[in-house]
Amino acid sequence: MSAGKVVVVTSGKGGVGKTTTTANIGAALAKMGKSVCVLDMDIGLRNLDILMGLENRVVYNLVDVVEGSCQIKQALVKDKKLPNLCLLAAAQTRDKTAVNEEQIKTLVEDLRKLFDFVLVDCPAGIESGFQNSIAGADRALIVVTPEMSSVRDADRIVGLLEARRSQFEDINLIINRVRPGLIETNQMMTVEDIQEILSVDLIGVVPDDEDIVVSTNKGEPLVLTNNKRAGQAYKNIASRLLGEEVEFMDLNKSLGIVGKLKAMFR
Amino acid sequence: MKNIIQWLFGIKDKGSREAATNRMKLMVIHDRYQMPPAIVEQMKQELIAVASKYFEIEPDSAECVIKSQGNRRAFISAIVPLLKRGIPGDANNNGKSKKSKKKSKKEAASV
Repeated sequence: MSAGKVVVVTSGKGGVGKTTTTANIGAALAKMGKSVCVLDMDIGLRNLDILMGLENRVVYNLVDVVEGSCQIKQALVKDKKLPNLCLLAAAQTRDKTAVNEEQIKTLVEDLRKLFDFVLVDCPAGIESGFQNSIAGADRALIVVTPEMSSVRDADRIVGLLEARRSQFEDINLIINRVRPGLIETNQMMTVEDIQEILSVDLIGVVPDDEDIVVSTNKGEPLVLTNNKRAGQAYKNIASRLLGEEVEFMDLNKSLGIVGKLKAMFR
Repeated sequence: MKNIIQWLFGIKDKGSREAATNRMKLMVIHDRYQMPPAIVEQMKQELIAVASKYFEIEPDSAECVIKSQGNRRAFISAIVPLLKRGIPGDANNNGKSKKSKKKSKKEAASV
């Protein structure tokens, strides 16, 4: 098997949906038949296991692998539904200094031999956790929400990634939690506004979707059960990662009277 | 209620989108060049001082901003309007009328 791609999912700001994005794109790629490893780099504050519904199955974590306490394959947790989707969890009782860039580079090099895709869930911030997460990546996905603080932090990330541009095949933007109702009333920056500010190629636009809350509660990535809104948007991103051309969902278009009424009572 | 009516009938007020986008554009540029607006203001004052060694200028209408050029590139735009100078011998131009002030912007020194 040829070497897989290592894709880091990052954002700068916390709480914009990096982990949700990682879980859903990972699941979507796996559903499309690719072998996928999702790697939680948020050491000390791990959450990817929860979103995947695998929190009770984690035995070893990436720090154990790096320190040689176990083999990689022992630490990989298979998804409940998709046998070609695996999680490598972060350690919960350690901190970001438990690993260094060289160790993570070696780890992802080993993982890319085993999988078509390694998705790295980067922690918030621009410190060592971020540096470690991007260490071995070929591609970067920057998650941003249409809020000023998120866009500002994303711009910092773009700057840091652009500084090592030669490392990356591609740096792409995912605009998450877009609310058509607010765009309609001119109370939210549009996809075009954000893209103009950041000047990064867009790979996905994900609408704000209450079903994400439900899917997190169930521990089942939304793409596995839902083809609407956010579920569809994540699938589209996975297709684009595979090189397919998929049209972007139009979230700016008028909702119509029914849509507006619905949006009002949300 | 006004909001609801505007919403239902698709009447758009200016909204906060424009404010956010404009603030954002300025903010990221100052972030990228690690150049606080106060320092740009200081630079503007220095440019005014330099320009006024050579020209009679309108310091109050001068502006100096970092502008985005797209593709994450930017440039400094400094505009220092000159006071209208009459053609020698033209008694009607004293450089202080309202009309001449407007015109002088076109002769602005652009950096």
